[in-house]
Amino acid sequence: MTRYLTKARVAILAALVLLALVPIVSPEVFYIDFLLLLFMYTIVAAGWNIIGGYTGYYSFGHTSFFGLGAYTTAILISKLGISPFITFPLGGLVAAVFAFVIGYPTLRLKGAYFAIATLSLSFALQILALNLTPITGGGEGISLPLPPWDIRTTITIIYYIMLVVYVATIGTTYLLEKSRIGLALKCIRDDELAAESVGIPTTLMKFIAFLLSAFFPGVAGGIFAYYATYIDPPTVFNPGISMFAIVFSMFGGAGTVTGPVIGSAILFTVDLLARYTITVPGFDLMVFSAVAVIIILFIPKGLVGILREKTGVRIP
Amino acid sequence: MAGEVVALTQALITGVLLGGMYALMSSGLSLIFGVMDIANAAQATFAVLAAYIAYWMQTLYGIDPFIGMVTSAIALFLIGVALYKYMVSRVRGLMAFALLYMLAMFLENTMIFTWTNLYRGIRVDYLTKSIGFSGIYVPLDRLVGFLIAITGFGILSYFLKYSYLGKAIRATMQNPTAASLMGINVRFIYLFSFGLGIALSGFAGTILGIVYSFNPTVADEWIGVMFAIVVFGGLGSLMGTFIASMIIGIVTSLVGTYASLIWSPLIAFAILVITLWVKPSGLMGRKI
Repeated sequence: MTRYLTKARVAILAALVLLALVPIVSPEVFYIDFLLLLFMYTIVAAGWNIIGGYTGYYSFGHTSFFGLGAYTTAILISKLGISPFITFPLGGLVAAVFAFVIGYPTLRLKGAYFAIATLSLSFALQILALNLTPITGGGEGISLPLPPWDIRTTITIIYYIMLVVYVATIGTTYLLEKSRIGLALKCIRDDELAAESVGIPTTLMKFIAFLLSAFFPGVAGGIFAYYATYIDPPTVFNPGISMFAIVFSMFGGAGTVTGPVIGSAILFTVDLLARYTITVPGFDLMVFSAVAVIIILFIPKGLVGILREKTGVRIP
Repeated sequence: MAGEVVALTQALITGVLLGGMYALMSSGLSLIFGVMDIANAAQATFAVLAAYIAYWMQTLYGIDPFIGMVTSAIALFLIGVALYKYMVSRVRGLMAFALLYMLAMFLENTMIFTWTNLYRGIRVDYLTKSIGFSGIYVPLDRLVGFLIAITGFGILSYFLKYSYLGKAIRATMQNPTAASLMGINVRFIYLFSFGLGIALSGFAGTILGIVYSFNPTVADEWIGVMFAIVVFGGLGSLMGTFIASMIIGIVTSLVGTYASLIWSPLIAFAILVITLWVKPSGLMGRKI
């Protein structure tokens, strides 16, 4: 067992070194771009996984947190000229505060009710962003000032920032998995009443999970706004982002550390390929949602769940 | 009449007509939610599919949309039954919601893929006029939509209250185990209710296509409002759904008239959040 873990650690370290080397080695910006977006979706998926996978509260509106982070960064940079390195974590905090506010009415709800509430709130936020024109620029969106470097340098810098957040998100999930909090969350997922009766402070635990789960997508949204240099409500409050987060996590294995990482890597690539092979609008999401239906019906435990059963090793 | 009275009356009439549309759109959702506790996230998408069926029958073959409406309702009943038998019955609760959400996405994007995102409308020549008196206008298509909604609701309530099948459905709604002990085939009731619920979106969708212009993505705008209505009205209560539709329709219209059109789409969501906060069982529902 110890040897297995050491091997795993070496592999993770090697993967990290490889990922860190990509911008230096890669001849084309395309690959850096691809990995950057993959990290972004993984962060949202891994964030979702904390409340959805571990706690069993399926949020269908994670795009809210992403969009709030994006708007925080966009507004602070374009109107107040604040440094992006300050706005990124601030975006995460704004998302977490929003999670705290909506957590009070929604975290008491069970099953599909929580899903409906979070889904509706993400629609409501998009409408708000469209209509609060003085703050958000309405449907015209917000253009951010261009970063002061050339394209390759800019993308490389953003790549490293995204990589750091990516590692931080997965690292947090890993620590959670190993901690008593993670155990408490899993208890809540399996049987909330029982969890409460053995003395787990369920409300507090759910709030911790929801806030963490909102924070990282918020940060990712901010980085995305800086990277895209332009955001509007349909792009950052996009129900598709919520859907990606859910399906990526479920495909890899909801409630596992590695699940969202593996799921995102495979499905994001599939989605990209579908988008590049047939460019008719709707095709990529058609393929993607068909895959999602198959996952829900036939492999609800995800790839990691299957691997655990097959190998007998408890992969984190 | 004084201008203010006219404006208020107009706002109320528009609200009631909108409420009728909401009621029709939400009836199937309410039925499925009430009977088998499944939040059918695909309900609005099926309504849009129905609008397309009626639209293509009219455009390609010149068939009257009201015949198209019945056809799409029958088609959707069959689709609903098949969907329940082969997919939905395999999962429950939250996973059923997730499954139907993904199916909705699949259907929506298949429609975008085949029929593009272009806005279309079903044109009914004999319904393009408005009835007007003393400065108040009632568009005929909305009025007919409202009457169909009322009639449909009446028939559905009568069916649930007095027919044998309707009684069996209500018994299953109250307690599936007890119902099956009384000799009710609960699996059949689920199958039938799901098909019926989806079929109701056949009527709703066609009216939607006549009254508004539509494309595959309008389903996203509708489904949030429909969930708000069903939750606000209370689970398992058709009457609650109807009252909730009227309240949300009228409030939306009043806000649109007196405050700003900007805020009217948020009314439903605000009511949803307040309901979930204050009284999650809704106006007339059983406790959840």
